[in-house]
Parts: sequence; C-alpha cells; structure tokens
Amino acid sequence: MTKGRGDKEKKVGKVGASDSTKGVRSTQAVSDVDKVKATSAIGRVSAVSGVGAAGAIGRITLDQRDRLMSIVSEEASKLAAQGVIPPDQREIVEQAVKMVIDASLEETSDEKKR
Amino acid sequence: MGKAESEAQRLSEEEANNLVVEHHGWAESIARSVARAWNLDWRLDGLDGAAMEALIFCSRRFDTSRGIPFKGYARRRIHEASTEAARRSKGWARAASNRPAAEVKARELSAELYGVFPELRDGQLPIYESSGNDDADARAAIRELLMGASLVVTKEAIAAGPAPDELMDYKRVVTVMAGLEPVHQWLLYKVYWDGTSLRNVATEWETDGLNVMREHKVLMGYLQKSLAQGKPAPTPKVRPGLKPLVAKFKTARGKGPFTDVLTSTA
Repeated sequence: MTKGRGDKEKKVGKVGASDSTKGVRSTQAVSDVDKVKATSAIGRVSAVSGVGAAGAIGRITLDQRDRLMSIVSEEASKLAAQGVIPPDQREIVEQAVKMVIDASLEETSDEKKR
Repeated sequence: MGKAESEAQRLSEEEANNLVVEHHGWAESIARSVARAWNLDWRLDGLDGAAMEALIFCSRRFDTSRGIPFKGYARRRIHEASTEAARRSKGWARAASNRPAAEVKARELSAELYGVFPELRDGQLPIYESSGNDDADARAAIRELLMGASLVVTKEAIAAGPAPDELMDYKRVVTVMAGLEPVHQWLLYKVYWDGTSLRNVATEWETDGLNVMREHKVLMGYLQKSLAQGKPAPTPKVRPGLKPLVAKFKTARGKGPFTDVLTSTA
C-alpha cells in the first residue's frame, strides 16, 4: 500500500528547540504571619456632608453676595409679615444673618486685597 | 502619645512651610471677609495675624493620611481664629460704644450663630441635603438661619427678663415649642439655648447626623407654621431613628425644657 499525497502533508516538518527553563530560585522562610484580626461591628455611619454633584453643597462666594443679601431681605420680610419673627426683632435678626453670611463668603481669588 | 497620633503622617518642616507660602493669600482672604462683615480693619484689628497663626498651626498639624484637602482641613480653624481676634479687637469694643445699638446686637448675634451653624465657617450655607434646586436650597437655608437667629434672640431676652411689651411674643414662641415631644424640645433646646451644633447633638445622642438634621428641618417647619397661623400646628411625629431616645427623655427628663419654663413662669 502506497502512502498517498495527503499523508505526506500531515508529516511534521521540523521540531524546534524548546525554550530552556530558568533555574528555580530558592524559597525563603516565611518571616512573620499575623493573626487575622477580629472584625468589629460598624458603630455608626455618618453621612458625608458638604459634597454634592457639583462640588460642595451650599458653598457661598463673594460674587454671590448681592444675590444672597437680597434673599435674606426677602425672606426676613416674609417671615416678619407672617408673624414668625417678632417685629421688634426683625432688624437685628436680618442684619445678623447678613453679617454671618458676609463673614463666611469665600473670595474667588486669593490675590484680591481690600 | 496615642495610637492615632503616632500613625498620623505629618509633613516635614519644609513641606509645611510650603503649604503656608501657598495658602497665605487664601488665609488673608478669610480674615478680610470677617473684617468686612463686622466693619473692622483686618490689619489694624489683628485679624491678619490671627489667620496667619492658625494657618501655620494647621500646616504643622496637617495629616496627609486622612485624605482631606488642606483647605478643607484648615478653613474652619482659620475662620475661628479670625472671628476670635475680631471679638477681642479694639475695633469691636469701639463699635459697642459708637455704633447703633441694633448693629451692635446684630454683630453679637451673628458671632453666636457660628456655634449653631458651624458649616458657615467652612464657607457653606447650612444645606444638609441637596434638592437639586440650588436657589430653593439657598432660600431654605437662609430661612433656617433667620428663624435660628430669632430663637437665639428669644433665648437671650428670656434670660435677661424681657420688657413687658416683648413678653407676649416670647411666651408665644415658648408655648409653641412646649407643645412638642420632649425629645423635640430637647433638640431645639440643645441647639438654640445651649448653642450646640446639630452634628454635636447627633454625636451626643449617638445617632446618625442626618436623623437630627432632618428632624430639625421638620421642627423649623412646624415652628414657622404654628407662629404664622397663631396656634400650634399638628405636632410632628418622632422619626424612627430617634425613637430610642423618646423613652429616655420621657422618663429621665420630665416633660421637656420648654414645658418646664412655661410651668415655672405660670
């Protein structure tokens, strides 16, 4: 029985040299194994504050000053008209809130001088 | 030295000095804001020095392992140092004698509001949860500041013995608050009478901060509604997160501090 052409095509042409293996490095002694520490229950999780989608929530800057001051006047006027703020307190309360906001404003540039 | 202290990652002196150089203009801007609001001179009244000292202190104490940006860490301290310097300044004392009485009172009141709303020192309005509408949030926060300021004035007037013509106004406010659950009365008392921030009340009560902040917002709504309509609105229910405190306050502390005030003055 003669070998057909198809059998010849299946012959392995050549076996390449295998890559040489590298030497195995010597192992080292395990120096220290810490015990697994017991986990403890989470006591309390506080909400993250002051960070919103567009940065800090409610951040107030000097360029918002006029707008904020006018909101204070509008809201003080409404609360006084409703009787929520007694009439004799209105001026002090409104002025105090304007001051506390003004003193908290962040200047947008560090270089501004008074 | 405690464990946390020993694990803190402090900066080298050179790195800390660099922080000071980098942020001194920003620290001065905080002092200028305080001086502008209270009509003081930020240099003559010593606010610049106080802000700088606080900046240097913070640069030495800054712990990089906590992952907080330096400005976020230092702003409150620098602001506090500036306001304290302002209140000790000659300009402040001078204003007490030569400015209109309403302005002097407003200035004292505004300084007191920092105890109740410490987030203002961070340059933020007291907005604890965003509704998505910045303008509405700012308006609500300002309303809260106004009502808070009004409650602080009420407290001071009661302590000083109000003038007869003011007595009815203050009694009306206390009567509305006395209608609340004891735990709610204590929440308002801690904040406006003791000057404790909402966050510190939450810590003291060992509860989540949001429980206290949301409850406070509800109580402000109740006060506004009750005072506007001239009679107490339906009293708010205690939210589930604060329920464990209900029994404690009912048994240990009577009917609530405002009920006690009304009873003692009846």
